[in-house]
Amino acid sequence: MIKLAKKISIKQGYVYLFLKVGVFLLLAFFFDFILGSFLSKFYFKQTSGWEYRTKFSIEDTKADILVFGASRAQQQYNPLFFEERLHQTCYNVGRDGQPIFYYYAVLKSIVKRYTPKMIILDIENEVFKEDQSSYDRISVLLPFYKNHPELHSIIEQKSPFEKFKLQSYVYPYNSMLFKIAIGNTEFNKKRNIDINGYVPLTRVLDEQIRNVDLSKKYVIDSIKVNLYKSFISECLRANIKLYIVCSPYFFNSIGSDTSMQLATEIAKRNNIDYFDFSKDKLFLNNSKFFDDTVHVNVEGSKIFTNKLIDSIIFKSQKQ
Amino acid sequence: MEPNKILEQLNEIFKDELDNDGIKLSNDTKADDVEGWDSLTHIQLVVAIEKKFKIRFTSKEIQSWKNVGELVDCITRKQLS
Amino acid sequence: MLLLASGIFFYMQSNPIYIFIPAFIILITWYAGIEIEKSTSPQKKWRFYLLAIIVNIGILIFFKYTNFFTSSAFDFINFIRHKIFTTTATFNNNLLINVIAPLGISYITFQTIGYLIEIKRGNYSAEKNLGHFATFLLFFPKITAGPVERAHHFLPQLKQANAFKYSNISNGLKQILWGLFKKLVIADRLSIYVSAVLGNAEHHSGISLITAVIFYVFQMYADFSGYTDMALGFAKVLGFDLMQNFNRPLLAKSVTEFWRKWHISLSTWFADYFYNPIAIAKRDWGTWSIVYASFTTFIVLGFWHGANWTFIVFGLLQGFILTIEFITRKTRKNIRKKIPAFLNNIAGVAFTFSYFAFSLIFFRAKDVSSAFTIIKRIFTIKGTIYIENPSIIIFSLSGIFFLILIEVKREYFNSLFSLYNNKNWFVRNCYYCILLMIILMAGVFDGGEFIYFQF
Repeated sequence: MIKLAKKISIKQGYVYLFLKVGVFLLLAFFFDFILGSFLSKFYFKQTSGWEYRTKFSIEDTKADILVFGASRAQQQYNPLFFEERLHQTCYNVGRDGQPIFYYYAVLKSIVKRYTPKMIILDIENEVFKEDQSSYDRISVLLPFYKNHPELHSIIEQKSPFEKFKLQSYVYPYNSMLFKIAIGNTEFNKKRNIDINGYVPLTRVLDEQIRNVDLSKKYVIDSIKVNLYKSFISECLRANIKLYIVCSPYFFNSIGSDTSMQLATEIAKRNNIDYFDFSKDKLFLNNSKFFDDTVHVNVEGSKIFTNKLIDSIIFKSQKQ
Repeated sequence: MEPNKILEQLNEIFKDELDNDGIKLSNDTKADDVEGWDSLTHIQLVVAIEKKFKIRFTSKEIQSWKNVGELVDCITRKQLS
Repeated sequence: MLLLASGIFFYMQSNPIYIFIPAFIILITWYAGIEIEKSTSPQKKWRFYLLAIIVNIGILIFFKYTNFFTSSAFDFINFIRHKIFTTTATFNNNLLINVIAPLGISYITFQTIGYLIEIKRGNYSAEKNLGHFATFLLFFPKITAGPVERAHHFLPQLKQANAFKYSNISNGLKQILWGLFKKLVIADRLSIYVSAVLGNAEHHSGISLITAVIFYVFQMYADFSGYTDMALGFAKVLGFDLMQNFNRPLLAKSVTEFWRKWHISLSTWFADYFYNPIAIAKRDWGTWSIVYASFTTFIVLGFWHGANWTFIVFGLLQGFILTIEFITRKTRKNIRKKIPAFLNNIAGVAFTFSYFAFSLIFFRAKDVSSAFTIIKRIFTIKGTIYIENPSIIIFSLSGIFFLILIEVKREYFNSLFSLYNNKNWFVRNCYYCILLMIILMAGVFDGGEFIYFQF
């Protein structure tokens, strides 16, 4: 053994280099595995915070009614009203800043577990806009790569290298260390309460209504459009009642948004009910229902959610 | 003037200009060895040396010295001519 | 040869046509270098020298500054028209051209200009081998972010056979790892908060802005020195030593010292080829020669960073403080003698840091007036610090803490216990593994982490 080591150490060449690199890589894999397992354990043990809500949406919720979307879902739809008036359980799986990749991923994991009765999908202006950040933000789904094969195709959209990066046990938890730590404490519960996934906003907007030109052209991302189509067909296949909603905006829109046009067309083609609140006079005339120009506050949420439920009841009675 | 004498006088100029009584120059001393001797103070030193020895260096000379010895040589040459 | 090919390949990645620009620069400079050396008559020397310099500077100015000059001229004309003729009509600048500067064009031209000056001064001989000369300028690790290498430092290394050596490879890889760490874990992390706050300065309180400005100093340093470490590391793996570019500048005790430790390859370039010649030529002016040389150098250096008035203000601030520090150097020395050394050091470092941070506000701002807005808000707008996402702040502070820890350790306690160069192979490698793990865990690989605005 010693003889061998000596022989190698004398041969200060490629063999020596490769041997050292090899041992280093082994050591690195070992560290990676230990640390990654540790992070994973605590990630799935969280009891609050955004990562927790994502985990709950993908792995735990059994609610009959689900609300999908970005911040305009998460911060505007109060599930309690659905539960009260429709006598069914409801959870808001919306997540701030997340694009359609996220909605579709969550939907796929959910339909694999059970079939919800009703799904509400909130869509907003520019929902199909080509944007690198949409792909970057797929990162919140990385912890689910190992145990959720149904998410592979979505996660691999992030970049061609994702498959290789995900060989690491630590990488899926990139940037999450402190979130995981905080998620394991009671801190978040005090900071922003969520009600079945709904996060109320409390500010009151005080400002004159503006005109916003929506007719500007931008590049449409066909991958996003296809995900939207798949979202619809997935619901149709599982026989889930789907409603597509555009929630209130506090501005007078001039022209119409390209993504929105496309989204409503596709919905219509598939006979999906679409409710548009963006031109609702009640909201356009009352800045007091808003937190900012694109999100309603608690008061607004109460009115909006109930108006939406009215429409849903009205539609279902007609059918 | 003898090189040693020049070195001695240089030492005085350096002490004075750089305000550091601890300076002890030798022929091998480089700019990095002396605290405060940098491109800014170098010009001040050159001006003081020129005044003291009543000589005028060329720009090329000023930028060519690699240690104090070369500076002394340069002064010697200037005084002879 | 392989090196040259890889450099050309690297260069053509962004836009293949652009390879002709450095190719042209290289040919002209190479030819002029030889001719300058060969010529016996000073006039002929001077002619070749001038021609090559004009070509180099001309190309640099064309690509970097055309738009700046034309729009400044139009702004000026409009200003005059408004003032004198009180008309509101404006001329539009229709000379704006869509030029994208070729990759690393200023680094390439700075290296060629330095080379030409050295040959003209007769300090070094001209390179006869065009391939070697091209490799020097297109050496791919240093194309994008320097260092501004010297021909006489690099070319001799090219002549030696550079066999792969274990120590080079391992040292190089280590340096790359450390560079990656600084870039991904520290700089890119800090940039999330910095751009969220400084990019929307009109919505933030003074305390948030100060925090962002402080973060920005560390971001700049970690980013730039991280890139440099990676470049030096790659070069080392290939068997080349490039110039050191940073020497713990944030621990400098005066702004003068700072500029000797920050972007060294560029600041020594300016010292050798710009500052010193000016100061020497004007040395009869006494102190004024220093003032004059400092200001001109730093205005040009500021302008080099980009065609914007903000960079000129940045340069002026440096020139100003360097002058002040030069004039007060004896007084300060006397004061220093009366105060304990460590207090002195702390005060010096703190002052240097604050001053540099202040000047960076101009460096970062999109125009001079928005820089003033930031400064005004720092002093007038009260309010709590903006923490949308505590995780980002904790990561940022940990990164800064780690950076300071390493820098202070290397500056003051270098002989002490070292993990990076530990004698024990196992300890050393565990340390690299930990660095790697932190990169995987806390590095920023994409825009997945973000601060979401709702104003």
